[in-house]
Amino acid sequence: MANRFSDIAKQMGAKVDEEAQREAEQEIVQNDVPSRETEVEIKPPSKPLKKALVKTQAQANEIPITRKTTALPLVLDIAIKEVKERRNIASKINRSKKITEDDVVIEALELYFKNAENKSYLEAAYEKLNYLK
Amino acid sequence: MKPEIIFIAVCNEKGGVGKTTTVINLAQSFSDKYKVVVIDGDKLAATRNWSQARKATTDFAVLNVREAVTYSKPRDIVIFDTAGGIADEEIKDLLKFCHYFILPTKTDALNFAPTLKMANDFMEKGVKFRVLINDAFGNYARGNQLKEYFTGENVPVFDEIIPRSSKIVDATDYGKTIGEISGARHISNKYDAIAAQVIKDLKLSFSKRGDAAHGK
Repeated sequence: MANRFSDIAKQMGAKVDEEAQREAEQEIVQNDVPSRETEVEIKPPSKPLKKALVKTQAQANEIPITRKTTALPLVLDIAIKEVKERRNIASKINRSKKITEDDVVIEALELYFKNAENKSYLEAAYEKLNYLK
Repeated sequence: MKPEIIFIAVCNEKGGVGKTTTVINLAQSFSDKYKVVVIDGDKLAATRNWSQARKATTDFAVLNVREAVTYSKPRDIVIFDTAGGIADEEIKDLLKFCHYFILPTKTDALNFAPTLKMANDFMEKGVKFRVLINDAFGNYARGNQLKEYFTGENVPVFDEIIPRSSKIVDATDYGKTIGEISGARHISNKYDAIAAQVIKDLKLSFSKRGDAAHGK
């Protein structure tokens, strides 16, 4: 990558300053060799307790990840109830055919997911649908 | 001793200073007398995109890095168009073989500072280069001011300044050189003068097109 242009230029007939190239390569080699200080730094800690302590500290600094839930949120249950009640009232007025449980859940989900943002809730909803099937 | 093939790099650590515009129009100016190859070293492939937008043929070849390796036709001058934000390692690499560097810059402070830094590095290393002032607005006042500053700091600057012009934008959009846009002859003449200054700096004097040593 470092000799990207000079390699092309060589192909095209350029006289590349080999001394400068060697210097550059040496620089890269020197940079690649880790110093003694680095070796000391990368040594594994002698006491496993210390390692565990470091890990705990790192975990403490981490932003807590939202736990995935498989339970449907309460609001969705409320939505289902709301849809059922609405449908029952509507069926009495319109005399429409009786709706299934799935239809209710789907409508409730539509109602709920208009405002839903969390993907884990969506996964949970699919699980609920599969359960109903 | 005169080098067989001249390698020129157009570079600046700052992006958007008009490197590709400079490369295209200088290549056109050089190609009146020399066989010119442009190598697009920019990952964004600005020069290649320009040549693809172009419907007519060019007087110079525009190649990407892969094509350049296998290119076997004769050439006198090879111009490298580099990416904005070019890494120090890549500049070091160009210094190994390039005979001349062109540092385009715009006239505002954001462009001027990185150009001055690069110019100082080049001067310390004894590199042959010149700064090209691009996009000079306000009747060249700002461009002339910048030119005076660079000259005061002993930074070599091209005599000609490229003005801000919608003609340059038109040329880029339609895959043309500035000389092919009507009413832009005065800008095209400036690029010719800049090319002549490069030739003078390099002490080149080929009697006719393609007189230099050709492809290997």
